[in-house]
Amino acid sequence: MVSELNFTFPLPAGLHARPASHLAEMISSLASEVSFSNLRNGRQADGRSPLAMVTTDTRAGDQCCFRLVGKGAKEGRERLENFLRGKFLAQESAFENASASPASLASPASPDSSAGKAGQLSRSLRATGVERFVRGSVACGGIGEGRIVWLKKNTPRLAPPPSGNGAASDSATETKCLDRALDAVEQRYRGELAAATGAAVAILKAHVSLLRDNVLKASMLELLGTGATAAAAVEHAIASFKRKLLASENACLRERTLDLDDIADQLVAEISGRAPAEGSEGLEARERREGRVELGEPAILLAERLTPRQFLSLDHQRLAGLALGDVGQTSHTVILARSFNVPTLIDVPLAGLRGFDGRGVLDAQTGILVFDEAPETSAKLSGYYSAEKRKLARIAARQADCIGKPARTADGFTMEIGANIVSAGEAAPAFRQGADGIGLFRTELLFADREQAPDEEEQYLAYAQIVREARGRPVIIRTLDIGGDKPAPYLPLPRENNPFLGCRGVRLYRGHAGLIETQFRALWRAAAHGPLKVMLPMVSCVEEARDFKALLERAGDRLRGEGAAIDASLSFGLMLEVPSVAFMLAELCAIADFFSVGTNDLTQYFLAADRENKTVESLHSPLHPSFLRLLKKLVDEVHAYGRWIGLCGRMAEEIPELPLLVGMGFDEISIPAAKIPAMKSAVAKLRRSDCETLLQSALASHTRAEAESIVTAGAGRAGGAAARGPLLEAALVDLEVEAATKHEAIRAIVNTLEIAGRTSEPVEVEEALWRREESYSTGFGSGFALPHCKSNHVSDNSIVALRLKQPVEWGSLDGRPVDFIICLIIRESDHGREHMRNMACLARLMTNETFQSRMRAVANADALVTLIATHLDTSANNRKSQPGTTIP
Amino acid sequence: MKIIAVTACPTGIAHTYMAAEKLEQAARALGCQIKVETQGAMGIENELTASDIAAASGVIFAVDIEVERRERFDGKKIVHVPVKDAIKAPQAVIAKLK
Repeated sequence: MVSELNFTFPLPAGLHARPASHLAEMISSLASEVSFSNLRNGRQADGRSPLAMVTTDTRAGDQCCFRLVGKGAKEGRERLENFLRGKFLAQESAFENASASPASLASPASPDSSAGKAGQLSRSLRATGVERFVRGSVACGGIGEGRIVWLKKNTPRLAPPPSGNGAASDSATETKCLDRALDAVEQRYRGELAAATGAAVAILKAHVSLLRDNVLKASMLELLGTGATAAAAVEHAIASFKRKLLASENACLRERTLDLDDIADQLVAEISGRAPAEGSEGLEARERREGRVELGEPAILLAERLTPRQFLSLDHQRLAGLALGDVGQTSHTVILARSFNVPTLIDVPLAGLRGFDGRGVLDAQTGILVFDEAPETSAKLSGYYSAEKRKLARIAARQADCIGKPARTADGFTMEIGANIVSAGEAAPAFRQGADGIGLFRTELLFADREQAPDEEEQYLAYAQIVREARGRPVIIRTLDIGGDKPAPYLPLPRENNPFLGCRGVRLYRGHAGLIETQFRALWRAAAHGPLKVMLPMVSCVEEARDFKALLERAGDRLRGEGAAIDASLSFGLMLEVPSVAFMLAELCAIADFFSVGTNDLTQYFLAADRENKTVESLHSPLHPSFLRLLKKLVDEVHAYGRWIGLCGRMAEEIPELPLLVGMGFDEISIPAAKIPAMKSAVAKLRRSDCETLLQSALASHTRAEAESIVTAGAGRAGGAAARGPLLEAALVDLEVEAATKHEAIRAIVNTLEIAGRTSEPVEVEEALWRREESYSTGFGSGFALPHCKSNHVSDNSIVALRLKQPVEWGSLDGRPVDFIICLIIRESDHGREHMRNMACLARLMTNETFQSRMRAVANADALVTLIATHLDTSANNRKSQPGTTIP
Repeated sequence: MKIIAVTACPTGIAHTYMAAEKLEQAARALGCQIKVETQGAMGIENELTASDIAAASGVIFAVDIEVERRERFDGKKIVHVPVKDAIKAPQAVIAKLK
């Protein structure tokens, strides 16, 4: 019985380890034998062996054929066809899309924001005359300076076996040794898999799948049969597979050889007895024990390939930066580099640096490795990079400032700002950026992209990792929230006409009690490590809240009965996203400890407008007065019953709408970690009393447009309901600027903006300022310059004032060098009339000699701001402004 | 004698107003009256009226771009200079009008 299935390979990255293991797992469930052939290159493989399929070098668009032989071949063909066109395609495409844009771990104005961007050299960098550099892709931002050093592998792979005489003992002993090693390494990988997150999970899964690959094992056994030692068998079998992969033109396949290297390292270490007993030490300790790469001084390490374990064995004190060749953005190595915050570039053409002996700069802001040592250039580069590092340090300090300090309004009201995360690995970066807690951990990603649900142990490890990272700060974990629109393969869901109004969120739990019980158990156990709060999604009635709370408690009782050391109670809360709950708050507050409003879904259900349907886009807006009144009601009542209420939807991310949320009195808002520092600054600019006034007006409005204009007007007006930055403040003044050239001075303007958090695209702003200079110089005489531009790359209209320690050539109208700069920047869209009037006024003032000498004479930043403020006040005496430290 | 002028620079944020200010300072120093219409990012301000124009013998255009509603000045003597000249040497620009 033979059946054939022809198929065009659909995935852009080809048939690499991840989809191959997925495919092999499915084929293993079939009764018949399945062989795979690539009709373009003629290569064949056993369908049950992921490794064999990978080595067929199958690319997107290749014509392929599956040949099923034996019992059930016809049925198997049908199942295989459905799988290929359905689940396989959907999941693999989703995975590849997710890998293509890895979750951002960075803040807008921080080193990591350059990840993935093409390297555009700023004008000031080009002005240094730098010529010798290579480009790479940014994997982790920052600047590192040091000696350029090539990685030397220090751990010999072929270590003598325990018997010590270098010869194989009999084949049976060697086979047993190999089996033990395979088991031990598999156990270790599974342990790491449980603690890993995001992209790392899929990669480690592929590792496990490779380890169990029957073709690899057969090849190793064959070598053992010829009298090789276990270690040699591993080495040669893997080398042979690697050769086939490396010959591929597919970069994704070549990247996977890093994984094969790691497997070989691990197996050989295990065989030679250098591996510790399972579970007796952590990964980092083990790697360090296996030998560090000694770096005598700060160094930039170059390596074509670097495995995750090699990275961990490096001396991180002296590792200034990494320049890697063929290492993928989604490789485990890069994930580690980011969590250790090591400036890293990948895809760097390193061949040109062979034999180079000297110092360099790894500029992972721009995306280049500089090794230019020409004397004229060196000094200028040194100046440029010193300024860069000072700037980055100040930005990091500003972010660190947020840590441990809640957002506080000008009149003393605090609001927690939490982070929304989708994987355990995001917890550490979130807290580094000042998160006061995890406001929402969406557990769906743990359950996605896999054949079976994660077991209790795997979930427990992920939840525990987050709670430990939180060090006492609250962590809200939302239980599984999926539905007919985004199914998981192991959860067969009925087809629904209306998945958003169907079986989703808690409605699914009754039908999958085992799955939820497992999640509950893992949560109880993780709660032993710190304040963990469990939150249920999509609750629409009291019955659901009661029933599932009871289930949660029973899971806890069972664990206690088994002798587990868990707490007496677990904080239990609900998402508020179905409008019905607004009228059952008395009852729900008796059942739940806390609530979080999911504005995305709540808006959708409340205004009956599909959030993905563009034709009803204007209805899906939280600024409809009805929705604002709903929110106010929720907050008021929840507080009346003494409970906590937060907000975790897109509405929380909009700075203009922040005054409404502050006015309502939400205890917390939870947003992507990257936005936290800016949000805390925005809260600090507000006065709660003014926000309440603004809110009252918005609540009394009749239409969305009215509410919107009230909010916008509030933002533009002087006073405490404006979360936008003022035109000029002390943070935008620097009276001690070191700049030797006009390029450095203009760079200093842009740096000031970046440090103040007003731009995340400084290179663009620098360009805009230079374009204006190209018309004619903005140096208008007497040592003053007025550079200016229109740009949407700044978040607020801004005036930057710099006094240079030394005057610089500016090409001024009177030929004199410049030492005092006032820079005006207006946004192209939403530039306020008031701001432009102030700027025009200031431009006029600058031509006045008395004003000029007063500016030169100021003692500090505050004095300059006051000087300008009072003069603008006098000039436009229809405005009321307090002499103080800002100009509104 | 009343002088009239129009200033307009491309970005319209700074130099339009600086030029206006410098021309006003220079006119004061020369003992003349001056009215300067600015055409900047906020639009036309201090607009020159038909009677302002009729009363003047000529007009200074200190501009780097096209003057808006230029037809108002048809038939008038025009001194056309770049904005930076008005900033650098406003008295010389005014002198050109005489």
